[in-house]
Amino acid sequence: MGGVLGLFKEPHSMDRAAEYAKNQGWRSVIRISPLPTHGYESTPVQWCTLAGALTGGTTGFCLASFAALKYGMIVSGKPLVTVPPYLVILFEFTILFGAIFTMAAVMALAIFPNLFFHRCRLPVWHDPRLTHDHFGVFVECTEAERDEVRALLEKEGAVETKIAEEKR
Amino acid sequence: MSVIRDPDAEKLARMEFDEVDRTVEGSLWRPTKFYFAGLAITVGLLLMFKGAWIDQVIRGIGLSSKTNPAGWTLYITTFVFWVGIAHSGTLISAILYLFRAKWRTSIYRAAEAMTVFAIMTAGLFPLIHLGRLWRMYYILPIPNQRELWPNFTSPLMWDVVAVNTYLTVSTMFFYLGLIPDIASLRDRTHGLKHRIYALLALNWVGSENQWRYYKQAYMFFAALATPLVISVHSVVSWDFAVSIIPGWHSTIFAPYFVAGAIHSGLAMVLTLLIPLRSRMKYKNLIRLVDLENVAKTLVFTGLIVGYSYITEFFVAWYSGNGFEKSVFLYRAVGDYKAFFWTMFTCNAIVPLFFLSKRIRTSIPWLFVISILVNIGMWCERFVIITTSLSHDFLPYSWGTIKMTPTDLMIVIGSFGLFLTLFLIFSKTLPPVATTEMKEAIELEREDLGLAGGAH
Repeated sequence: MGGVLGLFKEPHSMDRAAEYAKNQGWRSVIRISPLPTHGYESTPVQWCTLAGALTGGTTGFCLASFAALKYGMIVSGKPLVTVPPYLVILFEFTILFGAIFTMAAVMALAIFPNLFFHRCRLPVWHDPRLTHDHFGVFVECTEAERDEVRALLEKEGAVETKIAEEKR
Repeated sequence: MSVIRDPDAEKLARMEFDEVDRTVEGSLWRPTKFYFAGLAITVGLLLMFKGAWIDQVIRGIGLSSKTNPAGWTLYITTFVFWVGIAHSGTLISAILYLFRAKWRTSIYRAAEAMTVFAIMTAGLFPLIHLGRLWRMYYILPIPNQRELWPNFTSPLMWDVVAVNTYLTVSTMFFYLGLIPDIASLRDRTHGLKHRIYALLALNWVGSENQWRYYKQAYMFFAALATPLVISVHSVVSWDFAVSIIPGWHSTIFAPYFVAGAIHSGLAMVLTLLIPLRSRMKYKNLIRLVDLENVAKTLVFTGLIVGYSYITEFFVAWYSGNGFEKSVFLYRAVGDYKAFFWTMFTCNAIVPLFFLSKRIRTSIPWLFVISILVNIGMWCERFVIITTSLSHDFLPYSWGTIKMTPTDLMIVIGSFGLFLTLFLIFSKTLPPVATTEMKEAIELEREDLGLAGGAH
C-alpha cells in the first residue's frame, strides 16, 4: 500500500505534522530527515555493546592465558597467568568486541531491514530531497484516503505533498 | 538567547543546507591539473616507498641503518610517528564529540580520514622493520603444527592487539559516520557514481528509527574510541618504557607519548586542512575560527610536551643515576644534538607563537608552524629511540648509526602512501561531514532563536 509523503522545510513543522497525523488516527506515520533532529534515545543497541564488551574482555584474557598455559614456558619463575600484562589485552579486546557488536547491532537494526525488506530498492516514499534539505512525513494510506491526508499535511505546513506508490 | 552575538555563530545559523551540500558535492570528482600534479608527486613518493621496501626485502635488512647498538632506528621512529598522528583524528572526532565542542564539526571528517590512513601506514612499519616480513606470522595466536604460541606478556604483542584494534574501530567509526553523507551523495549523482554511492550507503534513508539506532551507536563508538586514544599510544610507549635502558625506562612515557601524539596529530590536521580548505573552496564551512581552535589546542599540547621534556631532564638529574644523567646529556650535546634541538624548538617553543592572535589567525603562519611541529615530533621519536639505544650503560656498548638511502626513501615515501590515500579520499568521499554541519546549523538556529523563521 502506498501513501502520501509531505515535504517540510523545518524539523518543527515535520514534528507537528507527524503528531497531528498520529492524533487523527493514522497509524503508520514515518518521519524522515537529512539530519538527526531528536536527542539521544535508548535503544537495544546498548545491550549489544555491553554484550560485546563483556565477551571481548573474557576472550582477551582467556586468549592470553591460554597461549601462556599451552606453551607452558616458565620464565624467571614468574606465573604463567598474570594480571597486569593481560589487562592490556583484556582492555583492547573489550573495546574491539564492543565496537564490532555495536556495528553489527546498528547494521541489523537500522540498515538490514531497509536493505532486504524492500528487495534492495529504496522505500517507495524515498525522495532525493529528503537527504538534502527537506524533512518528510510519510503517511501510509489507501487510495481513497489520499486526498484527506494531503489536505492534512498541507494544513500543517507541507511545502509539497506527493503520492508514493509501489511501481509495478 | 545570548546577548553577546557571536558573528561566526550567526553566520553559521544563516547558512542554508543547500549551500553545505552544493559546496561539498561540487568539490568532489572534477580533478584539476593541480590535483593531478599533487597526485603525481604523492604517487611518485609511494612508488619510491614500494621500490625501496622491495629492494630491502630482496637484498636484506642490512640496507637499513639498523646496527649494533641501535637496533631500532628510523622505522620504529616512523611507526610511532604515524600512530601518533592517527590519535589526534580520533580525539577530534570522538572525544570532542562527547564534549560537544562546536568547532569540531567541519574538521572531524578529514581528521578521521587522516586517522584511518595514518594507522594503515603505521601498520606497515613493524613489517618493514622486521626485514623478513613473512616472519610476522609467528605473532598471530593461531594453532600451528610447531605448537608455538606468542607471549602476551610482551609489549610487542600488546602493540599488535592495540594497533589492530585501533585500525578496526577507527575504520568502522569512519564508515558509520560516512553513511548518511554518502546517502546524500547517492541522491545527487547519476550513473556509475550513483551506483557506487548507493552500494556504500546501504539504503540509508534517514527515517526516524534509523536515526534513533544510529545516534546511539555513534555515541557508543565515540565512547569506545575515546579510551583507545589513551590506551593505544600508551601501549606503544610501553614498547620502550618496559625496557631497562636509561632514557627508556621511565614511568612518564604513557602520558608523555599520548600528549605528543595529540600534538603531532593536530599539526598534521592543520597541514592537511589548510590546502584542502583553499583548493576545495570550503572557506565557509571550515572557518578560520575552527583552525584557530586547533591552534589553541596545539599550544596546550605543546606546553604539556615541553613540560615533559623538562621533567625528564629534571628527574634524570635529581635521581643522581649516572647512566640516566649521561644519556640525557648525550641527547643535548652528543652526536644527535641537531635532532634534539630541532625537537625542542619545534615542539615546545614554536607552538607558543600561537599565543598571539595575529599569528594563529594567519593561514601562512598556521601552515608553516604545523609543518615545523610535524618535523619536530618526528625528531622527538628519533631522539627517544635512537639516542637511548646509542648510549646505554657502559661505553663499550655506545655507537652511532648512519642513515642509509633505503631508510630515508622508505620514511619519506610513507608520506606518499598517506597523502595518496588522502588525496583520493578528498575527491571521492565528502571531506566535510555534511550531515553534522546541517545538525550544527540547526542547533545554532535554535540557540539564536532563528528556528522556524530563517527562510
